[in-house]
This record gives sequence, structure tokens and C-alpha cells, in this order.
Amino acid sequence: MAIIVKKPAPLTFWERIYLPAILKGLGMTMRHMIKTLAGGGVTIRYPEQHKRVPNNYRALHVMPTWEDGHIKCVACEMCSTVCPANAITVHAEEDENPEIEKRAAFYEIDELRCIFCGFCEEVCPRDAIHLTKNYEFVTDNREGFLYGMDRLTKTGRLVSELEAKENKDR
Amino acid sequence: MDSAVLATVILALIKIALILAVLFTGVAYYSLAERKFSAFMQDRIGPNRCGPFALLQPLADGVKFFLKEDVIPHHVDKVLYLAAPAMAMIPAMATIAVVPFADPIPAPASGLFASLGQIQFQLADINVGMLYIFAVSGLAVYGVVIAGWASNNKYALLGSLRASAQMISYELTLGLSVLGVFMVYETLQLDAIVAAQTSFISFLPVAIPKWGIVVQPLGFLLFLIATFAETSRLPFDLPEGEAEIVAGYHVEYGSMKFMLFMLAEYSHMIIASAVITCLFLGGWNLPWVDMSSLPAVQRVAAQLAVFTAKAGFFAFLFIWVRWTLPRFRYDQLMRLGWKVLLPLAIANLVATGAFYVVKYTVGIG
Ligand code: SF4
Ligand code: SF4
Repeated sequence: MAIIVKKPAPLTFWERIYLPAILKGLGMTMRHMIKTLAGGGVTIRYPEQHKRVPNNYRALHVMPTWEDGHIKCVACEMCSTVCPANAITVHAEEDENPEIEKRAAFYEIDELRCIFCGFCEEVCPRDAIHLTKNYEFVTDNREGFLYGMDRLTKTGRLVSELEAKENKDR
Repeated sequence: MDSAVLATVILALIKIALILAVLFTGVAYYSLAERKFSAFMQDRIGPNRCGPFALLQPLADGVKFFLKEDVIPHHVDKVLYLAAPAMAMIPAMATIAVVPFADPIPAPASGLFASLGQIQFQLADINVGMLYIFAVSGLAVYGVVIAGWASNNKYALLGSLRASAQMISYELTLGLSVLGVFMVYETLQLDAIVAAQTSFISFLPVAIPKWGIVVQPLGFLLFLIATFAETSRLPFDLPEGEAEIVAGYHVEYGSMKFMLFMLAEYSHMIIASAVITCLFLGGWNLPWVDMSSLPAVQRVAAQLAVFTAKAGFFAFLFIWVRWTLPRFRYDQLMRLGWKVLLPLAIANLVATGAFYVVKYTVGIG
């Protein structure tokens, strides 16, 4: 079978002098420029504006508490067992309340080890650990990423701040 | 020293200081404009962190360049290596000496400058005007060639070879395309050319200004294209080429020495915009608007504004074209220069000449 090579049609005079094509190209870049100047473009100006992340986004953890401020965690160590990154450390102690019996004496998540898989949230029998969508928790030292109980119970507040920012920007 | 000479020298020094200050500020903000406009054309935002509208960005860039370590590689020819950035920069700055920005104003009646009669908005009103620009800007290629040679680096040398071949080829077109303008206005002096463009084309029924772009459209186009090549801007930025020759002739340069090359390139573009404005767009004059009746200060302000607007448009055109067109291949560049632009420039010259022969023998206009 013969292969037929299609030669492109020879350029016309106007194509050969480039100028109309150049003007067309200039028109196109000008259109884009005006569009960007008028509509602000597609860029999210990050520190000032925030991208709206989906609600099932997985970032910094939070440990919810009961209304009286008592932590929900019963130190069953399911989360630290399931954690694929070994990011969770739990030490248990006895609670004065006989109905609770056990509570965490020491609970710490190393957010630098964490891979944000969400397994801890899934496995927890008491709904005592959640992943929030707050991704803005950088610090400049490693210790700053070790989140103990004291901080983890308060990270929920950061989420409402984030949502306020998202709503402000949109 | 007699007072007229003293006044001339002092005035010249003041003008040099002012022009260089404006030029460098212009270059700084031109680089910012380039980054901003290129961003807009690519649906981006561009620098927006340094001050309102990133107006402090050039300052930050300059400080960064100053603070960089000044490296001199051990394999270079030290003297030439250090001289090359200056050799690129000096012609770029020197060409602006003959560019006029506005009509002269009468000198103050008393005081030091009274003896001068008038104050020109031009550093040197020499009667070879345009020739001087060609002569000096032709020297710019030495900075590039010597930079490439002294770097003792094959990529730098290849880059500088490409640059010199390109500049020499397009300089011909540049010179020939503008000869038509000299024929029309019968002078080389830039301020005289600008003055000649205030009149209207004599034999047409409607008043069309006798601008270079009207009487020499082909010459204008050729001059513009050749200017793009001379300033090595896209689509003719062959001297630089990340893909094939690393960065080109300045690959071995860093910190302030690199900055001088950038400054030279951007000053070239600004001066080229100013020269095109003078030659083809009527300089600081607007057609059908007579500014000569205004008081001196207002007139100068208006004329400077008009001149800046016109030159600014061409400066923007450099950016606009750069972010629109892909570059030529090297053989295409040479073919375009020698086989298309040069014959067209000669044809334009012959046609203009023929027109004037007819005009003077038949006597139209
Ligand atoms: S999200 Fe995954 S990696 Fe992070 S602490 Fe929970 S289980 Fe461990
Ligand atoms: S957070 Fe949940 S899974 Fe982890 S120790 Fe506490 S109760 Fe158990």
C-alpha cells in the first residue's frame, strides 16, 4: 500500500509576509491582557485570598471535648495503633469519673510525621479525633509541630477562622 | 573661563545628570513593566509584593544585584571580562545625547544662562544627529563580542558570534530604511526632522501630517523590525538561547556585571523608542494641535508628556511583541535580514528617490 504524503498547501502571499499573522497574535495577547486587567485573572492571591477547600479536606487534627470541657478521648490507643506513620503517642491514666474509667494523660501528634491519611479519625470509637481543613499551621521549628492535648483541643477555633477567611474572599 | 563657556558646561552637566536619572529610572520601571505586562498577557498577575503595584520591585532587584557576590571565574581574560559590561553600557547611554525631547525654551533673561539665548531639551544638537546614533550604537556589538570572547566559554562565544552576525546584518537594513526619511526631510538633525513633521503633506486635499510613518510606511516597518533585531528582542533574541547556548554571551557574568548588560539592553529599547518617535511619529508634536502659543513651562510639560506617551507606546510594543511571537530560527533570521529586508530597504530608497526626481522635474507639491 502506497503511503500518500500530504504536502501542506503552499503559503499564500499574505501568509508569506507574516504581518497579518503577527497582528492576529498581537490581538490575542492584547485580549488576554485586557481580560486579566479587567477580571483579575484566575490567580488566587494567596495570603490575602484563600482557596475554598472541600469539606472532607484532611489537615490539622482537632480533639473535640464534651460540653463541660472534658476531653472525649478514652486513651484506647486505637489511633496510635492504626497510624501508618507512627505519628501518635498516647499514655493512659485513670479518670476520677467511674463512668469514663480511662483517659489520656499524654496525647501528642507529630504533624511532621503525619501523612494526613485520616485513619485515626476513622478508627476512633469515641469520635475523639478529627482532621480539620486548616492547612495553615507552619512554624519555623520542629517542636512547633508536636501538637499535645492542650493545643489539639483548641485547633477547632482555627477552622472557624479559616472558614471566615474563605467566605470573606468569595 | 568666559561665562558663555561656563554656562554651556554647567548646563550640559545638569542635562547629563537629568537625562541619566530619567533614563535609569525609566530602565528600572521598564523592567517592572515588562514583568507586569508579560504576566497580564499570560493570565498571571506578576510581581505584587513590593509596595503598591510592586512599585518598589526595581529597587529590590537593584539591591539584590548589588548584594550578590562578585564572582570572576579564573579562566577568563580579566581585563576584557571586566571591560565588556561597560562597553555594552556606554554606547547605550551615549546615543541618547542627540535625542531631543521638546522645543527649546528661551533662557532666563538674567543670570548665568542668559548668554545662551535658549535652552534646548537635548544634550547635543549636532548636525549629523542620526549618523551619530548609528555610529555609537554600532559600537554596542563590541561589548557583546568581547564579553563572549573574554568569558573563555564555548557557549558565551557562540552566543556572541550569533549576536554580532545578527547585529551587523540588521544594521544595514536599519541604516538603509532610514535614508528615505532623510530624503524626505532633507536633514540628519533630529530636532530639524521633528520640526519638519509639523507641516502637512502639501499636495493632498485633506490635511494629513507629514509624519515619517505616513510618508515612509515601508521605511517605518523596516526600521521597526531592524530595531527589534538591533536590541536583540524577540523575535530576534538569538544572542540568548537557554536551550542551545545556555544563556548566551553573558553566561559567565553575575551580580552587577550582569545587571549592566540588562541595563544596556533596556536603555537601548528606551532610546530606540525615542528615536522612532522622533523619526516617524512627529516627536513631541500633535497634528492639528498648536502648542507654540502656550507659556514656555506649560508648553514644555505638554511636549514632554506627548513625547513620553509616544515613546512609551513603542516601549510597550517591544514588550507586547516579545510575549506574542516565537523566535526565528537562525537561518530564518539571516534569510529574512539579507533576502527580504535588505532588498525591500533598497527598493524603498529607490522608490523615494524616484518620487523626488519626478516631483522636482514635474513640479507637484
Ligand atoms: S492522619 Fe493518619 S498519619 Fe496522621 S495521625 Fe492520623 S492515622 Fe496517623
Ligand atoms: S483519640 Fe480515639 S482512638 Fe485515639 S486514643 Fe483517644 S479514643 Fe482511642
